[in-house]
Amino acid sequence: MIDLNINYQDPKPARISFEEWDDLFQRIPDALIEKFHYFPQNTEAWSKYLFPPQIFYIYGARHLRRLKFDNSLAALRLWGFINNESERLFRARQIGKKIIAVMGDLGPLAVLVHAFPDCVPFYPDCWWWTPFAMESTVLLDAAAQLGIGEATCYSRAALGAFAKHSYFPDPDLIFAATGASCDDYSGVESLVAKLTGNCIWVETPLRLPEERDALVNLLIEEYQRVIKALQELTGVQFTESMLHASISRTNQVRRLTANLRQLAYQQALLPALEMMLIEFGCLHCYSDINEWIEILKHLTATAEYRRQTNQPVLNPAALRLAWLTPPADPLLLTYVEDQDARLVATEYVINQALTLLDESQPALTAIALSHLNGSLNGAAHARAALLLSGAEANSAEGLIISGILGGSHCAMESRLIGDIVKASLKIPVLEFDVAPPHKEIDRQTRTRIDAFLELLRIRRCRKS
Amino acid sequence: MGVIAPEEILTLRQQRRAELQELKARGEKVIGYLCNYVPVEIIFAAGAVPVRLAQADYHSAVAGKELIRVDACPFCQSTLGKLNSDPIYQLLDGIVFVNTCDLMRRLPELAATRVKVPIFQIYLPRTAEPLPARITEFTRQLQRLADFLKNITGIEVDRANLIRAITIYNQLRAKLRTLEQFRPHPGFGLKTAEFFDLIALATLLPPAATGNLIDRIINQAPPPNRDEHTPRVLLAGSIIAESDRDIINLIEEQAVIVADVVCTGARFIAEDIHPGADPLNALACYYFNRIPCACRRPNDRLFQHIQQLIIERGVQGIVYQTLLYCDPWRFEARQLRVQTQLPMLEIDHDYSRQNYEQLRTRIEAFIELLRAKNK
Repeated sequence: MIDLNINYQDPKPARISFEEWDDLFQRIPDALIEKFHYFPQNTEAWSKYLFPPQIFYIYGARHLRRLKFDNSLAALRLWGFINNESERLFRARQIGKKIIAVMGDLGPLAVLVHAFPDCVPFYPDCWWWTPFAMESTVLLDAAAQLGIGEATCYSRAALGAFAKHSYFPDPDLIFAATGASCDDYSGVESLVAKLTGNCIWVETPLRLPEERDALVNLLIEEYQRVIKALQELTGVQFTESMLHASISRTNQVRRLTANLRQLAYQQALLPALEMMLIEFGCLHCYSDINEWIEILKHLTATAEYRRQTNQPVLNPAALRLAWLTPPADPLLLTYVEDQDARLVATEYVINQALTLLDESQPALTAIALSHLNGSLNGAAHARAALLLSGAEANSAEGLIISGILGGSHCAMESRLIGDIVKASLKIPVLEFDVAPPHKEIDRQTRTRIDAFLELLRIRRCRKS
Repeated sequence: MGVIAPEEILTLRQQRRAELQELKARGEKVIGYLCNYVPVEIIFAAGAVPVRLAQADYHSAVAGKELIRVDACPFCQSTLGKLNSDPIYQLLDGIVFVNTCDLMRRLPELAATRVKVPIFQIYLPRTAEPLPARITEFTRQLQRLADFLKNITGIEVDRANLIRAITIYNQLRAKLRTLEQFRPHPGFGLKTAEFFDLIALATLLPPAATGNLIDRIINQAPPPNRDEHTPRVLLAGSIIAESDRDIINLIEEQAVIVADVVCTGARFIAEDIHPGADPLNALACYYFNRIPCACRRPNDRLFQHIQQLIIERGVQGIVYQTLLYCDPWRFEARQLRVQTQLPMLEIDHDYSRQNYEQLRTRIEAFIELLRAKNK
């Protein structure tokens, strides 16, 4: 199928369980396992990451036991790489790389950090999945001790992770973006700043379409402060060409992701869970952009092969859903697919990381413009429009909005967006809040999802 | 016995409502604004009548939940509810919002579904370090506001108009500051509930009328009503709406609130503006740099200001009240406790009075604790 699968043929596409992956892993030749290393050019034993989910379960990711996974080698590679990120960050520190925490802007600042050699950006924001992955409230409890308790976005886990000093190395620099963004995370950043005493604030302006040029100028000045701090940290003199190279690599990631979104959401070639991880990879490429690009190519080749051989991983005739706001509990995606539904459109609050950077523009202008594409810094109507375009193109039959109790933007925009979608596409909308970390989806949520999918089935029957 | 009778405040409000109706009938424009960061001077300079929209109550919050979820802050819920019900809100010719917290910044889009009047949103950078680009952008935002208002009133906000407005509001703030400084002195008899009511009047009545009222109060110097051993409390936290005096009244039954950092209280009057050569830029600098709301980043100056008040006014304990789901204030509570090392009572509320007696018990117990420490 593809060069990477040396002496190994993916089985017929399917979603398989944790235990099934363990068995399947036995068939992967050692030579193939040896082939994949993070921080490419590196072939040290410590940099291998192709392991079955069992390994990460032992390290604490207990939720893996309950998820379903795509059974391709490329997907295993994806899971191994992502689950390995904590270790990768500590290893990066050991081999002399600078660890840069970028917070709150969900995409643009990482492009600047990637321009500097040996700087590894990461988003502590993404640690919001950790309590669910580990089925543990340790990080949430730590955040509560520092002042952010219940009824707040699960992104508060990032504060707990900073306090624990064991989920990622203490960063060499922290950039905290705030402005027209959610209050919960801005509050997390504020307490992180007080906890670490080492934080550079970056403004995230409110998107006012008619004011674009002025806002770009503001952002450019903000970015120049970021660059100055990185220069001082690394001793490397910044050049425009460094940033152009970073933009070019970032666009490679975003193009590959856009293509995968099409293949998955139009043709059911990859499951929703893997797709969510792929979309979020556009933020900081899980701390290793070069290897991430290779993984995306591998996934693309897998999906293309499935397309050519007409082997979708999901039932193409399954109920077609649009999904707004990423589910903090990944088990929700597994569950809806288990009920013979599939995702055909998503709006996961990271539009700024998915849109291509305009390479014809001066580099900082291009990043500023992508920043202004953000999902959360504009009007709810604009966010609804983003979702609508995908949902309409792929004939979504229903919309699921997974919110968070106390999440500031959820409280204000969920109903409005739901109403817009309902009115425009005449499809039902289900809105629920994701329950705190647990090994199962709570009964109420499950019942509501079941009833919603039943409703969609009835509507489909009536139409036909 | 306080310095102003509640009946007088009510009468003044009712009279003002009637005046606003008359002013509108004569073609004048009434502009509502939310938030301490709206430069009221620009509204005044544009020839409009500024009215701060700081009313909130439980019933209007329930009405607001038709548009937003139960986990939105009750002040935003109530504001939405009041847009279609409060008599003063019905008189508005335009509304000015500021994107301070996330909820406030999303409110205009929802308000637009409720009212037909023009709505304007000022973009205030949330980052508080006064970098040139941020001030430049905020100045530009204020020019946009001036242009927006010109479209409503037909009056250009020029330098002369602005300087006049700045002077008038500086005088008003100075008078309110003078009054506020009597607060720590029990002999004067100014209750914090009254002080908040006067601030609310200052954002509703013409500045001269409020000024005269304050002059009268200062000259009256009512008799003492508290002993020197009364516990001295600082009040901090979310916005306290005009009709929301429960917590203040419960505290003042047994203690004295000697200072506050509430946006509808002393933070409204804390500093003066120096117009200089470019009054619009001066306004931008003033509003950008004023003692920050907890939502600004970083908000260290707010903490420094509180520390200063604690020392200057001999604060013995803090009552930290937050509206439910008011993240910017709620998250900072522990920091304040750690930094000040003072006894602190945290209260969450939502305008409902169902827990009034529980609230009383908690506040009484807290004040008892302060008394015990005093001995």
